[in-house]
Amino acid sequence: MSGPSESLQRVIYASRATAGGELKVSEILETARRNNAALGVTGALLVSGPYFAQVLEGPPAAVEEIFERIQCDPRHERITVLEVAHPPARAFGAWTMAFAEEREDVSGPTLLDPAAAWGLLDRLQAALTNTAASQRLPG
Amino acid sequence: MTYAAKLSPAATDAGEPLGPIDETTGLLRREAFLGALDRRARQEEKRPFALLAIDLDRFKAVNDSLGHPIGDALLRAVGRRLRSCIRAGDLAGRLGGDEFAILLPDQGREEDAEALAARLVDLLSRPFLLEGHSAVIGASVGIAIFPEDADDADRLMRAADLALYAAKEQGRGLVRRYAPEMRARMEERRRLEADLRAAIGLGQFELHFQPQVSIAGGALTGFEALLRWRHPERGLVPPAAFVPLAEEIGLIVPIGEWVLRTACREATTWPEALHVAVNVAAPQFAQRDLFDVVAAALADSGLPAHRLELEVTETSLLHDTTRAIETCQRLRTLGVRISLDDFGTGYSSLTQLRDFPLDRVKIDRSFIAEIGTRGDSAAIVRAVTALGAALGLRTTAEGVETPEQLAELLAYGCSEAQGYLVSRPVPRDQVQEMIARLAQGQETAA
Ligand SMILES: Cc1cc2nc3c(=O)[nH]c(=O)nc-3n(C[C@H](O)[C@H](O)[C@H](O)COP(=O)(O)O)c2cc1C
Repeated sequence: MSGPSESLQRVIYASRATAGGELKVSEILETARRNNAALGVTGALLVSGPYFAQVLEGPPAAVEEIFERIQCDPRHERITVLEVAHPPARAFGAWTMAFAEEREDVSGPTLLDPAAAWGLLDRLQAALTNTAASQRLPG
Repeated sequence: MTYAAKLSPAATDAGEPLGPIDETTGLLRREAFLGALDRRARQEEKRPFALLAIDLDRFKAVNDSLGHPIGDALLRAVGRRLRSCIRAGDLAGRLGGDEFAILLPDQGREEDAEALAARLVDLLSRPFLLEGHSAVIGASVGIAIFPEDADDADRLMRAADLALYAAKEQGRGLVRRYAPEMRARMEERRRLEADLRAAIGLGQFELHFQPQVSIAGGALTGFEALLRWRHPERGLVPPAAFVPLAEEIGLIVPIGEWVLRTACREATTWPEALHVAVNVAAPQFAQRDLFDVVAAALADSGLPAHRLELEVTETSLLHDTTRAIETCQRLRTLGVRISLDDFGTGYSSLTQLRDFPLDRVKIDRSFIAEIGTRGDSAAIVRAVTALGAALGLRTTAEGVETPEQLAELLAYGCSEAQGYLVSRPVPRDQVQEMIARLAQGQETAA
C-alpha cells in the first residue's frame, strides 16, 4: 500500500446489544480509551437504545486489530459493516473514543441499514457538539 | 503465538508432540489432527468425547473476488477465532482448504458440543476486516460423539462429515448432530449419482412430449420435449429427483446435449408446421459453446432452425447477463426461437422482457392454477399477456387444466396453452397418434 491516504483507515459499523445480555457503556468506553490510545486509534460511538454505531480510525493494522477484538465481543450481535474507507484526515482526532447518545426513536434499528453510513459521520459530529463535549475523554 | 503453545502440558498425550502446525491458521495440520483423534479413540476406557467438523460457507466467493492474499488473511483470522473458542486441552485442526475440525477430548456431552458449535457459527458469521476490505462468510458444523456414533477414529470423522453435509444441505449456518439415517441417505445419494452417470451410456433417458396448442383455434403448434429417466429398478424417475443432482455434479451439460440432439431428430418426423421446445439449464448457458452445440444438433438432424425453440429460465439469463444476451442473439440470427420459461417464479423483472432477445414468455403454472380463485393471479396473467403482446412476444400458459382457465386465457389474448387439459406428456411412440387426434379435434370443432 502506498500514498498518504492509505496510511489512515476508517471503518464504520453498526450493531445491537445482545438480547438478555448485560452491557455497560461506561465499561466499554473505559476499555476503548485504554486500548485505542495505545494503538493510535481514535473514533466515536453512538448509542441509540440497544443499537450502536461506531467509527474507528487510525493506522490500518491497528484499526483492523481493534475491530477484530470488537467483532468477537459477545455483548453485541448483528454487526454490519457500513463503510471501510481511507480518508485524508481523521474526523475524531481529538477523541480516543467520543461518545454520543440518541433516543432510540431518533434512529434505532435504521442504524443497521447499510444506507445509514451516509450522513452518519455528520450526525455523529453534530451529536458530539450537542451532547458529548463534556464526555470528551482525555486522549 | 501458535496453538500448541497455548496447550497445557497435561492435555497432550503423555507429552507426545502434537505435530506440525498449519502456518496460515496456526491450527494442527491434517495428519497431526487425525493422529491425535486416532490416539484418543484408542484409549483403553471408552470415555465419550465429541468431534466437530466445520466448513466455511462462501469462503470460495471471497477468495475468488478479493484474491488469494485476502483469502489467506481470512484463513488466518478464522484460525484465530477458532482458537479463541476452545479451551486448553481441546484440539483444533485444518483438514483442508476451508475445512476444519475440533476435538474435545474431555467433552462427551452433546449439549456442550452443541453450545461450542453454536458459538463458532455465530463468531464466524461476524464480519472480518482484512487489508481494507470487509468480508462476511459463515460456517456449518457437524457433530459426532464417540463411542455412540462410531467407535473408531475413521468412522467418527466420517460421521461428523455426514452431519456437516446434512447441515449444509439444510441451509448453511446450521449445526447438526450425526444420525444413522444420514449414512443411509448419503449411500442412496452415492448410488443415485453412480446410476445417473451411467444412464446416458445405458440409454436410460427418454423424451416425452407435451403438446402446445393455439388457444384461439385449438390447433397444435408444437411439443415441449421433457426428459424422463427410466431405470430398471427405480422405474420412471421424475426430473425433480435427479435434475438438481445432475446440475450439481455437472452432468446436466452432456444430458442437456443429448436432449437437444434427440428432440431435434424426433421433430424431423413431425409435420413441418410443428416446433419442438427444449429446456436449457443454467449450467448449459454458462458453457461457452452452447451456440455451437445447438448449431451442430440442427445440422446433424436436418431440422430447420425456426422449428427449434429453446426454453430458458430467468436464473440462467441472470448469471452472466451480457453473455446470455449475446448467445441468444446469435441463436436468433440462426432462426432459433427463445422462450422465457416459468415466468413469474424467479426475479420476473419486466425490464428483462424488454431487454432480452425473446420470442415467447411462458407464464408459470402457479398463476394459471389460481386464475379462477385469486383475483391477483388473474390480474398478473392478464398483465403479462398484455405486456407480451405490446412487446411483440407470444405468450404460453403452462399447466392449463380446466376449460374455465382456457376461456379466461382466451379472453386475455394469451396465444398458446399447454397442460393436462390438452394432454399429459406422452412417450415418442404416441406422438403421431396425438398429432392425428388433435388434427381431428380441429376438424370436428371447425
Ligand atoms: C459496541 C462496542 C464497542 C467497543 N469499542 C471498543 C473500542 O473502540 N476499543 C476497544 O479496545 N474495545 C472496544 N470494545 C470492547 C471489545 O469488544 C473488547 O471487549 C476489548 O477490546 C477487550 O479488551 P481488553 O482485553 O483490554 O479488556 C467495544 C465493545 C462493544 C460491545
